[in-house]
Amino acid sequence: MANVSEVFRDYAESIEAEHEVREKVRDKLRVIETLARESSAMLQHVHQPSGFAKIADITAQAERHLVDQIRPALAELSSSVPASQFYRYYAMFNYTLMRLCHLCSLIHFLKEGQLLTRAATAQDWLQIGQSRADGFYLEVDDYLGGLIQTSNELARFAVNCVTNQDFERPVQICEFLSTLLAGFRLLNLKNDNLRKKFDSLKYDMKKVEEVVYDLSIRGLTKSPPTGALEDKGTSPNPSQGTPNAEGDDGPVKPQDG
Amino acid sequence: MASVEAIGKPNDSGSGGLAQKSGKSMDPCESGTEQTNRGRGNTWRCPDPGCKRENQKSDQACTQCSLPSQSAQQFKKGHRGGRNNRGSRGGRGGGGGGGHYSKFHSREPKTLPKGVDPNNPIIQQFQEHARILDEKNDKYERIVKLSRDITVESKRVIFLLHRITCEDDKPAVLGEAEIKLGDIRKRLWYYVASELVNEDPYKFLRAYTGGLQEYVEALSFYHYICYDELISWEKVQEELHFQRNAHRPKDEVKDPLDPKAAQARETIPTKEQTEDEDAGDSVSVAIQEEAHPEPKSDSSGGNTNLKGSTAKKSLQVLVPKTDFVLGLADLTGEVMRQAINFIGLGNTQACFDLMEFLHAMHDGFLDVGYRHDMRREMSRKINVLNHSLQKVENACYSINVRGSEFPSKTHLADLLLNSRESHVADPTGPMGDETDGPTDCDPYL
Repeated sequence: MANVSEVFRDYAESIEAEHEVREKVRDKLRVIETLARESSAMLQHVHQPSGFAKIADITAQAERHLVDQIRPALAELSSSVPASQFYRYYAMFNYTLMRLCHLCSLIHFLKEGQLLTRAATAQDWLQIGQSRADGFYLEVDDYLGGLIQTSNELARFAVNCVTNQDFERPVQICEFLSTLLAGFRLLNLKNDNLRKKFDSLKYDMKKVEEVVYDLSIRGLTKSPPTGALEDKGTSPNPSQGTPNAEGDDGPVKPQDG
Repeated sequence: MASVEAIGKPNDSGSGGLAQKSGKSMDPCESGTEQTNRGRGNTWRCPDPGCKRENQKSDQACTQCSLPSQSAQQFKKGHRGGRNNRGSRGGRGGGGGGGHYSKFHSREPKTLPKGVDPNNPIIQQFQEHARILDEKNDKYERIVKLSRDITVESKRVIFLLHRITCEDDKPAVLGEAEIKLGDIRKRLWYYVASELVNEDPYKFLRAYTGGLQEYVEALSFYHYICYDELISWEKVQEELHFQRNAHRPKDEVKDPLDPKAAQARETIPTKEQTEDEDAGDSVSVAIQEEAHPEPKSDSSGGNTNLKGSTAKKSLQVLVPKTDFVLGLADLTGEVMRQAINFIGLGNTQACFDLMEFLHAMHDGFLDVGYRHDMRREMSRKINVLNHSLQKVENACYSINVRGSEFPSKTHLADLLLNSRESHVADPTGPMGDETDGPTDCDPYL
């Protein structure tokens, strides 16, 4: 059966070609992964008391790292993926893209206190396309996934802010997250990954609301947050707030003394 | 005269005028107000076909049949919007449902939850994200539906092909199978192809891979029985390459190919409902074109995906080679089943031929299968292939063993056939061959 072996030879060739591309993509991806991890590690310092004082420095450093190192690496990755076959290899790099989106939006929030749009993430920060016509581009799913990672990070950051005597930032984070949550509520999510992540956003919201509640009940916030206070009355009750109060003991005492 | 006139006139004008006036006030006046009212939209007509009364807008319910005005309006809306479309598209399986699905979504106004500022840029941005996600999910679902239909139809073709018991069955069954496969292409793949216009096919590959594999299985089985060889990837890909008919009205041709995806999505369903037959015709023309042996240089060009956007009038469903080979792996199962069937029918030689084919396939998979990046599906299918092969090998073994034990088996068949042929051939002449046909290969039935 000559023709059977012909068919399989043809397939073997194509699989070989695909494998080569995959190897290439994997290599580039490894570089980006390493850089992204470095960047995350840099940003971790904002949670620590030593780093908290110089958030601006840390974000500037992380941003520089992103622009100088990650961006060129990403450009290499995008050139190794055939433009018309973005989705063929998409599963390989979508988590990395998500992570990069997360880094961008986190840095942006720490700097400006605002949400980074998808257009800005793609164009200004990562310098990749926004739609299929651009070849290598940022999918909405990845962008949204990145935002949720940011919200997880911010929920933790809100607690650490209080530990580091910053009582304003949790309120800001709370407002930010509630807008984000309102935005995500507009999406008709399927029962997929994004949906699961979205659930984690709700828990982040709750956590930050509790922090703000603890702060406001002790009169530590200068001006009560407008939107957040209304939401807050519904979900956490004082008994829920108590575990967090332990963390707040620190900031309360110095005020007394 | 004058006085009479004078008297008559006022009199006339008085009485006549009055009469006229009253007359006017009785009907024309009413109809006048009705008309003006209708023109201004101050009335509503009861939608009940037995009533149809014009009511004042202020009326909460129809004055004649007391149908609430609210439900009358709902009725009107439904009548204008979805219901007609759904009715006319009812006959057309999966794709029609898909069209309705998208319509449903687009018609539904996006209501913002309470307390959300619609002017907030973040919210606006998220509305845009929601639109993109919805569009993608809808398209995905539509393709999944089509794919499921393709799977079912392909299975039917395979069952049909298994009904071949002897050479004489072949033409009829193969003809039917070809028609059915053509139907699948025209009625189902064509719509998948039009969904994939200007899209990355790999994005929706997971939606149609099931249908594709089943279709490849059916097509390759058909091809194998027809030509006694394995179908090539190029052939499968070419079969799923469609051309839109050029002589259709311009907007019909243009709209679905419009680069604006949203517009294309809207126009394809309408085209389906109005021009269903027309679309079918155009595809059949395309298929006829393909039937000519002229090779299409661009379709054999391989994995170029932007075909929809570059070539103006051609559509295609991309067949990734891996999915093609997975379909072939399914084919081996069918071949095994056919081999066993043939043993049951006493056609042992065919069984050996099929075993040879399976061996060739097995070698092919051995060569290709155990490589890097192998999908889990693939290894599972190779396992199944091994089992099928073993089964056929065992069958062939026992044919030989038993065959030596009972040499009379084949001899008996031959004897039976010969005796019958000689018996029948004389009186009926040429008809004898035909009546003998079926018994020719299953003497034990």
